[in-house]
Amino acid sequence: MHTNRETASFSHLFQLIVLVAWIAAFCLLLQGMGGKHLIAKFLRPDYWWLVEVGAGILVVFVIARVYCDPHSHGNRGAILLVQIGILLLPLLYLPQAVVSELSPEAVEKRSIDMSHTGQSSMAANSPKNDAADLPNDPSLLRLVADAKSYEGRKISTIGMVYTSDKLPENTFFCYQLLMFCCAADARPVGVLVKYGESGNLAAGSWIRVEGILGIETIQDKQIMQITAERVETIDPPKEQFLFQ
Amino acid sequence: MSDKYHCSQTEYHVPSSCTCEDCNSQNLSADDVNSTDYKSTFNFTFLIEAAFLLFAAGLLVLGKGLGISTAVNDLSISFVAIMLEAMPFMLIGAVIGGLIEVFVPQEWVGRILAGRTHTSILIAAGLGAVFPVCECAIVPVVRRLLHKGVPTSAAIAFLLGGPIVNPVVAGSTWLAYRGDWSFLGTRMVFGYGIAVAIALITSFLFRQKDMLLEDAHVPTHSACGCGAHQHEDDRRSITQRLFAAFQHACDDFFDVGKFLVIGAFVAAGCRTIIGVDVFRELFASPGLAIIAMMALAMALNLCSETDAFIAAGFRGVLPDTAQMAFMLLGPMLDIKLLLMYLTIFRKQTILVLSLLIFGMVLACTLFLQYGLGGLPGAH
Repeated sequence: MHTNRETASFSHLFQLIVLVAWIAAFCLLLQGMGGKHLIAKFLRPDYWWLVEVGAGILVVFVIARVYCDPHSHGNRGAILLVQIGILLLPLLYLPQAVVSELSPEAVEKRSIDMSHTGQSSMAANSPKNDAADLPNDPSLLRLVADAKSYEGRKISTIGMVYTSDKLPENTFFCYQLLMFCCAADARPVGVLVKYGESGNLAAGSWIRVEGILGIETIQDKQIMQITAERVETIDPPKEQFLFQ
Repeated sequence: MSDKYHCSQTEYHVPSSCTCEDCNSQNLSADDVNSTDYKSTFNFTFLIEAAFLLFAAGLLVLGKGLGISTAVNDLSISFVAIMLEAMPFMLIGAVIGGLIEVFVPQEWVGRILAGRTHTSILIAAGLGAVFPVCECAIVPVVRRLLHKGVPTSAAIAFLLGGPIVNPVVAGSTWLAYRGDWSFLGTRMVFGYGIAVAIALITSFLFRQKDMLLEDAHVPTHSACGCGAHQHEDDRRSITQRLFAAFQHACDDFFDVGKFLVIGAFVAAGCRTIIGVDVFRELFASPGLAIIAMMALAMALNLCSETDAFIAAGFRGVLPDTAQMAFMLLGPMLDIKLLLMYLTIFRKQTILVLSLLIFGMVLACTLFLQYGLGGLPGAH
């Protein structure tokens, strides 16, 4: 039979393990590795301070727990194990999340009509800006926002390849994920690309597209489309998400 | 560390471990803890937790063998991302709760909120302006306020209104809608109004004690139940009181954090399985779009400080009122919150609250759509 004090000590020990594991995970994610921060895959940079604050609070919790006299009755047995297991679960998924990439199926599910029209409404409603101020190598986000201004211009942009049977022949969707807060809410932003050798491109690969941007009407919808002159495969960029 | 400052009570504690007579006189009796309702809720919660843990761990281990490794990869990315985004907010909320517990005098809380039900509801629904906590953090704070003697109806007003009527959420809504005041104004006004209305209705429907779990309504000098913290308040230094506040916060993290994990996992699962294209046909009708967006808000379990960015992603695709329904319902009712509510309310209360919240948000947004023709002043 455990005494209250023994049970509480046991409970405190497991709680300390959880706290320390989370601190280690936060620190690991915030560390730069090979010029990249692991956390960049999950959170937009201006939210990283939140994780730093979270790590700081957890450190204070550890101090509070270490100096807390385990006088009182804590959870025990199966209850304690389940509680600790649940709190550690995200950390069990963390390695899998770090080495994985969102699948094309997941990307398609995050778009209202990616496989049919691209960003039609944005293209139709975008304002027309002074062409002299526009860079020739815009991001896909800039391209979508300033579609009218870029119409008829030769541009160069980068993105990933999405192919589907639902897309018109000899076209693919060039997209990048736009992250609002975290990877869970990221959704694809991009343009259709007309390219004769679309079938040779690997889905999910990074490419640079050079060509003329046009706004076509397909199935009664205005759709941005680059008529590609050149498509080359490139290494993934340092910043893989777009931010608004 | 003196025994006077100990603290480690959790929701399943048996407070008789505290040796102080005064503490024991104000805590749960063994009869309370052994009551049928308490045990029933306890067993139900524990079964959910255990089943969830087995399922989630099994999915990770067996995913490849089951031929769903791609889905598990997608799920793991969303799950970890949601946790990383939500957990700091939850920790901050726990700390705010701990600070309230130690530094906000019970007399002050009593003077402001206790006693006058209707006035306290009106004040509590707007209290988020002073204590800006999101939905991930609101439950620990409300638990602390209840222990401070805040009336249940006022606590409900804060629980529902706090995650909407607060400066951080206002800022994110304003940013997400690029300074369109109609969205911000409608969200704040209706969020406040719905919180007040539901709190008033529940105050008529239930007696205070009937709404809460046994250990949620017992006013103690300290929410950890030991009561020791207040005995020496006058003599304790600021550092010692801060230390006590963090111990309370740590307890709340362990009590409520597991529900955040479960909610984040469910949300990630929904994101992995359900494509937004599923709702495409429903979006042709504003009424159906409102209901579909309410269902989406419940399934996605987004943080109220960030959900406006998701809702704004549907601008131009869905009616403004459907986006508003998403932003009003999510901070008050989603899967994660439902699980967290189990640490405060009885199941019957949760059921009634859920129906009231869903019905009220639906009625308000339908009124906006069909009565006013959309959001006032929207462009």
